[in-house]
Amino acid sequence: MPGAVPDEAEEDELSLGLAGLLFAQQTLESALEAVVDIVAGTLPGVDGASLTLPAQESGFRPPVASSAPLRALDDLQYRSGRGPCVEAFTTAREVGSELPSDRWPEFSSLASGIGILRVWSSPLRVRGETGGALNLFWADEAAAARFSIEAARVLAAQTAVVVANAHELADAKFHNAQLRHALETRTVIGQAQGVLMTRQGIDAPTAFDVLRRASQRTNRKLHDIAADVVASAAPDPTET
Amino acid sequence: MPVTDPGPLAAALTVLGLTVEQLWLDSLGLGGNLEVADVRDFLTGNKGIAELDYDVLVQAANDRFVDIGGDHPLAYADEL
Repeated sequence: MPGAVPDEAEEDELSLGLAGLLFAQQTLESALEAVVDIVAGTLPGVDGASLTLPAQESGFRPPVASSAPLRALDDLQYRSGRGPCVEAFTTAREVGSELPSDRWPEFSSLASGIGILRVWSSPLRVRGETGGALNLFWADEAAAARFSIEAARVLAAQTAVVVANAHELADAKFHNAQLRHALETRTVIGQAQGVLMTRQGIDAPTAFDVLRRASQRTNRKLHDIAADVVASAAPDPTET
Repeated sequence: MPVTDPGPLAAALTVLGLTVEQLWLDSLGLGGNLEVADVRDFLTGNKGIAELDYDVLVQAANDRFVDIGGDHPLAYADEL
């Protein structure tokens, strides 16, 4: 199935952007807003993104979205209690749908009004707990059809950890380069796990185990092993 | 089965001159999913962690040892 998986340059941009924002932004709100801006601006074909995050006591935090119309769309969901983003959070399941949909009449009406034709929401899970939802929006049905759900899932998993630690990262006195390096290596190791999972029919934890055993056997850092695995899976540019 | 003994990893941090936050950031770079508080609680003996999470932390420390000429001195969960 063809998929608009982010290419290497786009993934670099995403990683560098996420790393940079966590050091530079002064408040949690602005850091979260930057997360959705980077996601929306980097993933091919996606026209907008938002984060659904629970408030401390009840309900939801004010909408965090990549544009004003999407903020209004999320706000409507929070007030009506109905919509794909709310559903993904409350059920802890992915919700994807073409729009309009009879499931969420208020949401669908406003979404259609601002040209949104498809939505995909994924719960942000950390250690089995749902800490929010990442929501992607498309105005172009063809672009939505080309998008790789696997890439979106990887992105949601990465976003979950970043969001779960946003307070800590924003407060910590890490050097920008340290954060950048961590998010870069995380991406490479995730890619290597994906290659091994496909090749060997194993799950992600087992793929990590394969990498760490190779690291131990050869006394090389895990990232270096992972980079070799990723390189071995890259198409040969000299082949046509 | 959760790993509950922080002794070897805590000792490694002392040897490496590494803070809990630095170890956690390294583990984030390896794809780890623990939060800083989890790592802190484990290292102070207040909480056990899953074997996979332990292996990610051990790998982060062992990578630091590789940087200074060591050879994976910390045992992984299945070697404990």
